[in-house]
Amino acid sequence: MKSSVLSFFLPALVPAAVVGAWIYWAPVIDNELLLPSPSSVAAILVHPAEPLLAMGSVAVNMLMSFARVAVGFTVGTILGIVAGLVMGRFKLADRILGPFLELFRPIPSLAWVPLLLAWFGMASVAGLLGIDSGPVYPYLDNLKLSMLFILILGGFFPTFTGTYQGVRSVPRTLVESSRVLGASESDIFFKVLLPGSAPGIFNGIRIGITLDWCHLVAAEMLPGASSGMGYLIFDAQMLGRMDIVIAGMILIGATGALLDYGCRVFERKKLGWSREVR
Amino acid sequence: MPHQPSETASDAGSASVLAITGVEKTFLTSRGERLKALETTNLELKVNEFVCVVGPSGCGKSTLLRMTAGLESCETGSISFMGTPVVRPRREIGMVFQEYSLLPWRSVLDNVAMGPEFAGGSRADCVRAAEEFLQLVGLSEFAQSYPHELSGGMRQRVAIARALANRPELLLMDEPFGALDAHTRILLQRELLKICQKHATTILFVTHSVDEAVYLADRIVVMSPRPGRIKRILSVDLPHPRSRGDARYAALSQHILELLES
Repeated sequence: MKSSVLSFFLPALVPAAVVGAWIYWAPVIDNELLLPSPSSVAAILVHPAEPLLAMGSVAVNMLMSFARVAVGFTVGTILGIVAGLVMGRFKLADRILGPFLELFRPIPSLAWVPLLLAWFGMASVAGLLGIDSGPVYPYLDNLKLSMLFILILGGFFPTFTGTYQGVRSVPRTLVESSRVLGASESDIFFKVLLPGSAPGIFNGIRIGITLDWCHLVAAEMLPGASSGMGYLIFDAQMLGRMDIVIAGMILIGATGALLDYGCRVFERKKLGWSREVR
Repeated sequence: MPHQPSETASDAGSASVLAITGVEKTFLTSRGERLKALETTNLELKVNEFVCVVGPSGCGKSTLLRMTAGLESCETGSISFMGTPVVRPRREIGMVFQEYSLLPWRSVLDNVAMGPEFAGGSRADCVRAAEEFLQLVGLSEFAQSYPHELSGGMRQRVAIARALANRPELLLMDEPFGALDAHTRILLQRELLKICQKHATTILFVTHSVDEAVYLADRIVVMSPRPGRIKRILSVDLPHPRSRGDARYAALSQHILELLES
């Protein structure tokens, strides 16, 4: 029992040591530009709704980033699943699209930014939908097309790869036995290949969502952004507010870890069968 | 051989369920060579007949079965089921694979319900059919279990129930008991015969076990290896249940073994 208590606290050991070192060193260094005091960072974290200078509150920026990832990643994931299923199932589609997609995979999403800014400029979803006022306007206006493109791309590849490999890993006899039982092509697709590749799809989503979250923060640091966690950090740097920078970093890290954890829980609950097979 | 089978229902009058006529199979190897897997083969199955195909691995017996199921094309000759050519899988022809091939994310019940579900049956009908056949194989209490929670023998029972729930008129079995231990294997052979009595079905059963063939079959097709060819077709005139200690049983087994070795 003692060891179980110990193992429960084990993961907290290193973070606690880091915070401890921080608490010790901050007053020694005594320079808010190099290492802000833990208390000033904590003050920002415990009052997330308080406006920070011209940047808006932490909560608003967080919400903005989150909305962007939610929309961009969802679209990218859906495209990735569809492409993965089709290309995993049909050799012809794989032959036609495979090499083309592989050309794009190694391009870092940030390398797209200059081109995207030239194409889309400051155009947003709000402009696309023709909305120029109202309560949802600020959110829609902050969904810049260029940023969404990056998020869609970032969400696409991991999910696509996971789905593709998931489809390929479905044993041939599962497909054949279903066909013998009278499965139509759509039955094969939706009742055999899709559930059969669910573990692969999900693995892709788990990798993709944390990756996309990273991409977003980086994208928000680029010109054109006027909200979001990346913008908050970048702007705080300009103003010499290192405490906001660190608070932002902590939130970004925690959110990423939380998303990953949520995925793992879902995986364990809904896709437990995949670990039991063979 | 340019043997051109007529696709008119020439055998519609007889009680033949399956007619394999002049079928050959050639595979293309990875080096581009043509490899003959099956020499010209003729075989006919009558209603409610239990036919076993025995032969060493690589004799094309599984290929023959897969062609009969419509999973593989036959370029030469024809396979006709109830007078119509088999070109793709069809509901009346069921198949049980050696690897069980149950969907691991579906419960036992939902696996058995697959056939009726694909046929567009209502959920209630599918469940009813699945329950009926699960009971037939004695696994009612495992309806909500998942395949990975069952032993190999139980999984294969589920696979048999699943094939039967589609009410096939012809059941193809590809070394279904090949992965089971000797004891379970004998148990399932006995059970299969019992099921056949209850649900009259025509069965084409592929195995490499001579004993299994002699225990189960009405007729035994003995094949030669590479390229596969039918060597002899033997009738088994022993009454069921067959006793492995019976002198005629032993003599027949011996005879088939000799045929296989010669």
